[in-house]
Amino acid sequence: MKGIMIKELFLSKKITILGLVTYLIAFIMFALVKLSILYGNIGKLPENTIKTTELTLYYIMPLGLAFILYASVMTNNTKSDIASKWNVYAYTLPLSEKQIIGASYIYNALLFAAATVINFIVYFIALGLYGDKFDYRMLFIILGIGALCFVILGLNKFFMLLFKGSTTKARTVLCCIYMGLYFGIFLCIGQYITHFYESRGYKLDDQDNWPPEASVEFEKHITRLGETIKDNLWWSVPLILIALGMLFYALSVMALRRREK
Amino acid sequence: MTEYNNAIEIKDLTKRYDGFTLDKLSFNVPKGSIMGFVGQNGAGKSTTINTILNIIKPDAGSINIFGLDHIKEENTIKKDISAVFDELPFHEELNANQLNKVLKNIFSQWSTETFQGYLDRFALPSKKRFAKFSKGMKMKLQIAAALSHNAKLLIMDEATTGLDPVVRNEILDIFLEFLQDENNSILMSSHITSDLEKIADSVTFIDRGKLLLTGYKDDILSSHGIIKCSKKDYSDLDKNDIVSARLTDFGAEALISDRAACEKKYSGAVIDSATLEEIMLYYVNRDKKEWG
Repeated sequence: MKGIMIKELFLSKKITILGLVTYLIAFIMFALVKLSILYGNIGKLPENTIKTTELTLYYIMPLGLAFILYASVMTNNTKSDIASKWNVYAYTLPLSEKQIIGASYIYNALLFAAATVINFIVYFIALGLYGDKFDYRMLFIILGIGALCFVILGLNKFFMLLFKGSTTKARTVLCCIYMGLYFGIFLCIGQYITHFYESRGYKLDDQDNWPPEASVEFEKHITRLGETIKDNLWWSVPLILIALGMLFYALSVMALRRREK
Repeated sequence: MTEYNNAIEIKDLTKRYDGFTLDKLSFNVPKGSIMGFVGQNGAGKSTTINTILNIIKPDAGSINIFGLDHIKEENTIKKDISAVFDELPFHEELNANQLNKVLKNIFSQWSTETFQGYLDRFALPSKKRFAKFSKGMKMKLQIAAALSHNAKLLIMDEATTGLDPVVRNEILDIFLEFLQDENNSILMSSHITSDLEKIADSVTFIDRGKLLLTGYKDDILSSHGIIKCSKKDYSDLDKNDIVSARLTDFGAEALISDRAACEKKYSGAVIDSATLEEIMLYYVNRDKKEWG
């Protein structure tokens, strides 16, 4: 297993270094903005604008950088394995399919952990630069971004293995899935909002005549929902993502076990 | 590991594809020997080898390696097997040093010294990316990797195809060294029969998915012969004695499969020794019986 992990490391090295350089450049830019606020042109803007800028950067810096870091360190080498015929050679090695897939998952899990530590540190730096109060939810959001990248990685790996040799097919299916999810989520949110207002007697085609409480009511509802998840169901988010990760691991093993017929 | 006489035992191996069937193939690779697996392109050599390596699943039949079932005991068996393919199965962005680190952590019996020894012997650079290797270098690299984890069985699919004679000879010498250990065996598929004539102990011929011949190379070569005669003399031959015959303007050349019997039956006839290539050629044309 260790050998496969080392192989993953060698193959990912270039793209990881490239990602880290991008990350570093973005990090420096965020730091430069702070310098500009303190000593440069941004500091000459009205106080409200500066406050808004700082608040925006407080969110964008740790979350944006987290996304860059997770996306660049967690890599999928399945396409390269297929192109080089390593996937065929791997069948001749004294390793089970679980070990072959597992090694790649462990490798990415280790990088996920390392990236999470860096992202947490960056959050505290962002807090020092732009924030005023520690918000532990930010750490969960960072973890969520990482877990999401991990799930996407698993999904990509599974389809690459399923359509072995045909990355075009895999890409087409993945594209359909992501587009389906994207539009599906919009559709679901739209339906949810429609249901919310209609169940309270508000007519959607008469929005101009809604009382101001209508939108306040919705905001309160969403806040309550968020609070409920935060206080009681927060564990379900990582649990769902872990379950999805395990599902894609199992499916990838099955796909690799599927020998040519 | 259990005691075994045959490194590989294949019985009634069947694999069906649209337009091709590997039909109840049975043969053994004796322990301590090198078997040449011969057939023209599309005969089923790669299908057989991929099935032995469990890269593809057979529809029927059984394969035992070192006396063990090749699927049930897959992981045990694969510790002692090395596969060499006609194309390099390693990522082209890697180099030999990196490959050493990868395989050292996969094979428990991997020897960095042995691998480095082969790299030196083959003059392969350890820091050069495989993408910059020539075909010969890539094949040597595969062989170096295959021989560095103390494997007992080397399975090669067209490993010497496309290589120049100098490289091929160098590689064949390495195989002979590998066979110095009587526990080691080789199954080598090739359509370059001259290589097999040099080093193989036994030979298996297949054609269109069917087994034609299997046995010790010397027995096959001594039992077969080519009768060279005029067309008139050829017409007097019993066609049951002939595998197939090549008819030309100058006469006929017919392959016979029982040379001793034919020498008695056709006393005075000129019967030359046949090469593996000729045997393959005449067997491939057996259905036509007469060709030219």
